[in-house]
Parts: sequence; C-alpha cells; structure tokens
Amino acid sequence: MVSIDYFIPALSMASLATSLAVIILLAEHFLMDYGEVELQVNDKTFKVKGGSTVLGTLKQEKIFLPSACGGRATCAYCKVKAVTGFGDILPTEAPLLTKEEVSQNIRLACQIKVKNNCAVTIPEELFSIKEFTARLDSVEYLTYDIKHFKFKLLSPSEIDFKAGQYVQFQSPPYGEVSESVYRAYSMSGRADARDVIELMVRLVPEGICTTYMFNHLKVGHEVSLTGPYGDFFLRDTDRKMVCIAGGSGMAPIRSILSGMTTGDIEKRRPVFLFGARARRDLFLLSEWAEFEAKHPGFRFIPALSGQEPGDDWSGETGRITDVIAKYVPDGRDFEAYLCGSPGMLNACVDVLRNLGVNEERIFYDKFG
Amino acid sequence: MTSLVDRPVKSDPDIFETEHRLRQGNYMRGESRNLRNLLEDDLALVVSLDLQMDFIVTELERLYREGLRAYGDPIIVNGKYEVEVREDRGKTPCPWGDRFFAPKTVVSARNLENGTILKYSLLGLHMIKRHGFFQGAQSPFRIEPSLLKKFFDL
Ligand SMILES: Cc1cc2nc3c(=O)[nH]c(=O)nc-3n(C[C@H](O)[C@H](O)[C@H](O)COP(=O)(O)OP(=O)(O)OC[C@H]3O[C@@H](n4cnc5c(N)ncnc54)[C@H](O)[C@@H]3O)c2cc1C
Ligand code: FES
Ligand SMILES: [Zn+2]
Repeated sequence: MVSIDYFIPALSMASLATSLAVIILLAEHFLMDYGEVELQVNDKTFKVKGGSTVLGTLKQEKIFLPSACGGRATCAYCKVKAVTGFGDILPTEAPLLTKEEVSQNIRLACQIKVKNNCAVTIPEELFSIKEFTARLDSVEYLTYDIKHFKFKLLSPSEIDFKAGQYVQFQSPPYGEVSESVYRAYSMSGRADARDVIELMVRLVPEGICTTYMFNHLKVGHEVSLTGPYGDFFLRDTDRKMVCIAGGSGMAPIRSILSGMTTGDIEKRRPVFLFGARARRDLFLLSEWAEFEAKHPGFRFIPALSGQEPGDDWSGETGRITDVIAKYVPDGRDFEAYLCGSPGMLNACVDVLRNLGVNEERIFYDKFG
Repeated sequence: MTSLVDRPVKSDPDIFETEHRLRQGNYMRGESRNLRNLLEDDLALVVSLDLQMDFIVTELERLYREGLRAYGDPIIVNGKYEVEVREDRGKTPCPWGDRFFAPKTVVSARNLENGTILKYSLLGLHMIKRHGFFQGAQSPFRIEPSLLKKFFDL
C-alpha cells in the first residue's frame, strides 16, 4: 500500500531548493549585468548582450534552433555542442542528456546562459532556417476535420524550401492556454510559389495548436512560422515512385508531385496511394483527377478501409497496406515516399520491404 | 492491496518546478490544489476505490496494443471492448522532465457490456504509471479513477 507520508520529506526539501532557486534567479535578474560578450557559433562571431539563454540569444541573431517545448527543458530538441564558456551540467539538463552526450559537451541551449565570451557549434543547415511573419489569406474545409490554410509571407516575403519539408507554426496563448507552443506542419504547396505557405491541418480533439488554428485563427490574422525543416523531399533519380499517405499526410506528397516536371512524371510514373476510412475522409479528388488528365504517367488511387452507408464506392477497398502490392509489382524498381500516422507508416515500410523496395529508398519524416 | 505502479514524486527532484511546467501546459487546468495535494487526493481516491493500478495499467496498455493493429479503424477486443486508436504525428515530451516522449496517440474504448466510454492518451497512461499523476480536475485529458472502476467493472 502506498502511504501518503511517503511523499512529504521529498516535498519539503524540494520546497527549500525551489525557494533558493527563486532567490538566485531574482538576484541574477536584478543585480547581474553581463554587458556585451562574444558568442561564437561555428565560424561566426556575434557581439551579444550577456545574460540570456543560448537559445534566446541565438534567436535574437536570427538563428533558430529547433524547440518543441518553448525552452522548458522537456523536449531536448535544442541541443548544441558547447565549446567554451559554460559551466557544469545543470540539474534541469541532466535528465535529458545521455552519458555520451555529456562526455561530448552536448548541452541544452534553452538552459545554458551566455554570461561571458563563449562558443557553441550547431548543425550547419540550421543557419538557413528563418522566422517568418505571415498573414492568413484563406482557409477552407477539406473534410470535416481537415482544413487547408493559405498564408501570405510578409517578412521575409519569400521562403526557399524543398517540396516535402515542414515549418514550425507558433500557436500563441489563447483562452485557457497560457503557453505558446510550436508544432510541425508539412507544406502542401509548390516550392516555386515562394511567397505562400500552404498547410493541411487535421483537428486533434483538445490539441493546443489545432484548436487554435480551427477555432481562433481568422483570415487576416498574422502568425509566426519558422523553417524550412526536414529531410523528406524528392530524391533526384530516375526510379519509379510510389507515394503513400493518409489524412493530412497528403500535404507533403501534394507539394512533391505538383512540383515535378511533365518530363519527370512521364519518366518516373508516380502512383499515389491514399488511404481513408470512408468517402467523407477523401478530399481534393477533382484536383487529382485533373492532375491525372494532364499527366498520363501519374495515377491517384484512393482506397477505403471501411465504407459508410451511402458511400457508393467502386474504387479500391481495404487498408492501404492491402493495396500496395497491386501497384508495386516489383519493388526493386521503386522509390517510396510515405506520410501518415506512425502505425500506418511502419506497416507500409514492412510491406514495401517484403516487395523488394530497398529500405534506403523508403523516405518519410523521421520525427513524424 | 492498492499500489501505484511506480513510485511517484519521490524520484522527482523538484516538484515545484514540475508543477510550474504542468500549469503552463494543460495538465492542471483550473486546478486550485497544488500538485502535492492533487497527487495525495488522487492517491486517496485510488485507495478508497480499491483500484489495483498495476492491473489497470496493464489492461490499458493491452487495449492500446490490440487497437493499434486496426490502423485507426475500430476493433473489438475480447468481445467486450470496442477500441479505436488515433495516432497523430509528433511526440509530446513528458512534462515531468524524465526524457519520455509520448507518441500523440489517443485510445477511445467502449465497454460494450455496460456502455462506459474511456478515452486516454499514451502520455496520460505514462503519467499515471510513472508519476501517479491523473491530471487536474479540469484537464482535458484527466483520467478519472472512478471511471476506470466502471470501465473495467471492478
Ligand atoms: C514532421 C511533422 C510534420 C507534421 N505535419 C503535419 C501536417 O502536415 N498536418 C497535420 O495536421 N499535422 C502534422 N503534424 C502533427 C502536428 O505537428 C501536431 O503534432 C498535431 O497537429 C497536434 O498538435 P496539437 O497542438 O493540436 O495537439 P497537442 O496539444 O500536441 O496534443 C496532441 C496529443 O498529445 C497528447 N496530449 C496533449 N496534452 C495532453 C495531456 N494533458 N495529457 C495527456 N496527453 C496529452 C494527446 O495524445 C493529444 O492527442 C506533423 C508532425 C511532425 C512531427
Ligand atoms: S527547447 Fe525544449 S529542451 Fe530546450
Ligand atoms: Zn514522465
């Protein structure tokens, strides 16, 4: 039996520790002036005002490290390699770092502070990530729970991305939600429409960001996005392509396919298998029909796993995994691009592997 | 005997820091009690309902695993529960700061015999299992101990 007394000693110690931490934080805030210091990031040096976290300081310098928890030391996305100028691992960092990372001086940028001249290294590709202000220009329902959002970029006014990549959308505090959160959404538009970002978002019941986007975000509102992120994009080969998605997973596939040249489509003969439960979960059917008419080498194959009364469906039926073999007769010729729920993704990878698709030619968002 | 599956709080170095994080998220929404009192109250509730939390957590994990096999479609488990597992992309870090990243997965289950409906997320299940935390009374993902009793006909 768990006794309630069991909790108390830990709580009193914690209370003391917290009081001390608060006093130290307040003292730091009011008494410490670190002045201007140098922060070196890879081979670039910035003169910055000391006192803030590395994450916040880099943001001021327009370098955007990934972060999913807003700097609260829970997501571990903001790791950097500390080269010089930082003290010991902090108690808030320790649970999120492995022994190996500690031995390599990996630190959480949202916890360590720039107090004197110091240096960190970050992956080079993070320098190309920008923060954008954008205005919502249009929004429409694609299904009962998926919306298509079209944002016009204001500042910077253009984004340079590869079809298939994603942005992080900042959902501000609203209603009872007191925190800003950042969520990843794949861009669904063409990469050459550089002044626009299109997203397809599925409502998650009680989800913080999607509830904001569905119920609070209105046409004309300005939002903040960072990106582009991710290594899910079209590989430059001549191989045949199978794309597989479900729900809002259509977004990056649409971006990839719509950006291909007619020549590429005829050469690579992509087939897009789209899994849904019922007819009401299908969308953009006329857009895909037009695309097929324009590109005889392309096929869009929706499959329904469980029809509803009145669905009147003559297309493929069954789970998307049941349909793959028919369209991928010999996997050795194919490259696969997948986007959807983790369960669907894993199942598709198994089927594709069994059909002979080389695992290195199966692409999807690893963070998904 | 009633036990929580893992010992909560004792292993947490700073419950106030944790409470701060929980309040910033949606975990203690509208909750006037502090985290300690909330944990104590729920523990007392679990004890008074005589809930075998080890059994319940194991069953909730099993329903999730069985449901997952239907890739989002509803499935009947043991002829008694209708289970539907919804997976969204992305992971949520456990706000207790223990390096656990929960897939954004929600299990909706209905006991076909008594009609009780239970919804729980993998993060919610983890927080009960590892931290003895059922969440604040108005948190959208609170797992109500009395509902667990009804759902499992205990
Ligand atoms: C690379 C990538 C690309 C993506 N692209 C898209 C896309 O194009 N379109 C799209 O719709 N989505 C996409 N996603 C998913 C998206 O990033 C979000 O995860 C999703 O929209 C949910 O966000 P949310 O804030 O609404 O929900 P959240 O608030 O994050 O909640 C989601 C889930 O977390 C759990 N949870 C939250 N709070 C609690 C709590 N208090 N207790 C217990 N459990 C809790 C529940 O399981 C809940 O269902 C993508 C994700 C990744 C990683
Ligand atoms: S930003 Fe999430 S841990 Fe640092
Ligand atoms: Zn945890």
